[in-house]
Amino acid sequence: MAAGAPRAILVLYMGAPYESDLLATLLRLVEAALDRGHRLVVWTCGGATTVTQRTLGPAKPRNPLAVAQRYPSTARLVKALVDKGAGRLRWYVCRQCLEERGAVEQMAEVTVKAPFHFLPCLDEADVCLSVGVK
Amino acid sequence: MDLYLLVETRSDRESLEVAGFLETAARLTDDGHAVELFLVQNAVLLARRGASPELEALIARAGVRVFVDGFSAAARGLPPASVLPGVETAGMDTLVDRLVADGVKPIWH
Repeated sequence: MAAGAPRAILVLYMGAPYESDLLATLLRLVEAALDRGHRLVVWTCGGATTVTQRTLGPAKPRNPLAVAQRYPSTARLVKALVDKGAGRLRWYVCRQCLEERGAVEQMAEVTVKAPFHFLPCLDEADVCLSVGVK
Repeated sequence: MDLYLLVETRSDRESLEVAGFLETAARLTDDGHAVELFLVQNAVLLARRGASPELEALIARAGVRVFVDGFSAAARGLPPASVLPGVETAGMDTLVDRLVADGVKPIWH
């Protein structure tokens, strides 16, 4: 493939969303890749399946120290990226992991997948990056 | 010779594995591979002058490039002047470009 050509990037995102800056880094990485014209699949496993719950709504609970300020929820941020990608970003959520965590109400912009669907995603990708736990 | 993209997210104060990750980078260069180390999140603290002799030794090796995420550095009050010579300040666009480079082998820690 020619240098600079759009690539298919697979990101496996695992782990709890709030124990580090990882989610913010991931979202920045995805946005930068979209801006570069690449196609992405983000496959979430484990605690990462909770960031796209429909029940999170568009905004986080109000901050008592700044009640006038609203901050977007993780679901809202992912939706914005999926919208921006216009078909170039697919966000998959592992069914096994979300059911284990009771995160069964997922937002419409993501797709719930059985674990064995991960292998075809791996086959289709030009490059794979596993982020999160280990 | 292969090209390894190593992404470190933790500081050596929060994980003893960081030292092992830097050692892995050094061993890869010993074996003749090229290494690009991208420091992001708390790992940017490694790039402060005097913070990590292991990182300084790694920078001095041939075939090694070290990047520090400018956003993470700014969020931790790390001014560019305090970063080790030889470390390149970069953003996510650079990480994406390195990630899709031909033949790259990325490892996230």
